[in-house]
Parts: sequence; structure tokens; C-alpha cells
Amino acid sequence: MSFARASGFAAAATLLMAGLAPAQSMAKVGSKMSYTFQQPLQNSQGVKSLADLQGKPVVVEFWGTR
Amino acid sequence: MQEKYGDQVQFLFVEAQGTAPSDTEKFVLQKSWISDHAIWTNEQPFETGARGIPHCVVLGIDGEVLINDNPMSAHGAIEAAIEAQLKLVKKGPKELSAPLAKAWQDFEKGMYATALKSLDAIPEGPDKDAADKLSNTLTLRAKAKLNRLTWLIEAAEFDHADKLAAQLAKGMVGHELEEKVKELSTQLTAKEMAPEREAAKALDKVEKRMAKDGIDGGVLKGLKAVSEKFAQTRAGKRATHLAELLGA
Repeated sequence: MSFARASGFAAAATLLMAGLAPAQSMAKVGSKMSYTFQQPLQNSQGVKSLADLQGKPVVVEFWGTR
Repeated sequence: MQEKYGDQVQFLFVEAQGTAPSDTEKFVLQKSWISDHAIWTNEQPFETGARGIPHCVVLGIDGEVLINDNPMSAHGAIEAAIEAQLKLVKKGPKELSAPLAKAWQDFEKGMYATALKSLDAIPEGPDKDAADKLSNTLTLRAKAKLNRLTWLIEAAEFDHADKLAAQLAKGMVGHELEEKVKELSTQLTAKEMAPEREAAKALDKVEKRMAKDGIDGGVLKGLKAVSEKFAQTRAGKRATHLAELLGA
């Protein structure tokens, strides 16, 4: 069982709110996605970019807490 | 789906409502949604064009978008896409020639050095460019495995780290990355790691209880106890963080 860490995320939120996050591309079917995360991921398993996930299918779930 | 596919599929959860990261983490813990196969972020890696949540994007093994849809209505298509990708992982892309497909399959079986050496040995000719390209791709994947091992050690996830280190030590013999594997394996088995392992074991007990029964007084007490007893260790620091987050 791995548990999440939150260090650095407050800074991430500030950066994103300030509009400093990099422009993101549109996930069109057939296009190849690349992205390097600006802040550490929770339970990252050493992953820093989408490229690090290649070799396995990846399910990206967008969800909310409210 | 996480239970069905285990570590064959990577799940990346993106909080898309702008909730503070610490609140997201707390929410995930409270719901017991944590698993070894799930990574979480509040950072959106790409636009989806969706107007609501939940929403799901499936990426193939090379990062190609296969599905961009609602996970409820597209559940069947998502599973079919995953199944097709898992077949691809085993056999390799159709366009690979026989020697390249063999290298791909060896890599997937954990014979990393054998696979990479066989690609480097492909002579000049029609396969050479494709072999070089595949060698680069597989080398990056091998490096990603080493990054994961480094992370597992730093995160005091010793059970997973021990397994991965053994797998890499076996499969990397004779490859230039072997030295790095040895360095990490030495770190992992060092005497100095004993207190870290003891702390990780104690925290693991509390985490298992949290996953099974949810967050209750006993869990909070357990986190505090690990935090105090193993204050100087990685697991102790994680226990402190979790205790603070959950209001122990």
C-alpha cells in the first residue's frame, strides 16, 4: 500500500492559479500526448512526465472532490 | 478496473475542480482510494474538451490517445482498448520485423540487457533504423524502471523496492545500467536501512488498517505512535505528515 505525499502542492496550486502553467494540448484521438509535470505527483512511483508512463496503457481519470 | 488489471495498467487521477492539493490528498485517504497502481495530481496534463466530470482519456503504450470520453458510457470501449494494448505489450507492434519483435518480447519478460544488446547487434540494413529507434524507446523504459526503484527506496516502500531490485539485477546483467542497479541494490540492503525498514513495517500496519477500516481513532493513534517512535525515518516523517493532514 502506497500513501500519497503532498509536499510542494501548495506551490503548484499557486503557480496554476497565477496562470504560469504551460499551455496544454488537446487530447484528440490519434494524437500523441507529451507533458512534463511541473510539481511532484502524489504516489508518483518516480514518474515525472507522461513519457515515463509509456510501455503500459494509461487511464487518465478526471474527477472532482466536491 | 484497478483490481482487474493490477500493475498492467497505469491509472492517473487528475483532480479537475481546483481543490487544494492537501484537501485532495485528504479526500483520497478518507475514501480509501489509494492503490499502488494509482498516481494522483491536481495538474492537468492536457485539455480534453469535456464539459463535465468524470471524464476519461486512455493513452496507448506509446502515448497515443485512444479514447477521450465519459468513463460511464464508454466503459466497454475503454476495456476493449486496454485489452488490445495488453496484447500489444506482450507481442510488440505488428510492424516490427521478427528480430525486433523478439527483442521487444525479451524486454517484456524482464530480459532487458539481452533485448537491448540484440538490437545494438542488428547490422546495417533495412532493420537498422527501426532497431535504433526501438533501442532508444526500450532504454528509456529501462531508465523509468530505475527511476521507480529510486522513488520506492526514497518513499520507504521496501517490499516493492526489493522485488523490483531483484528483477532489474537479474535482467540488466551486462548492460551499462547494471552499475546503477547495483548501487541502488546496495543502498537497499545496507545495514543503515534497518531502522527505515522497521519504521516502514510499522507504518504499513497502520496503512493496511486504514485501507480496511477507514480512518478512525485507532488509525490516528497508530500514525502518531509511528511518527513519535520513528521520527527520524522516512516512514516516520510520512506518518507525521498523514497525522497532521488527518488531524490526529
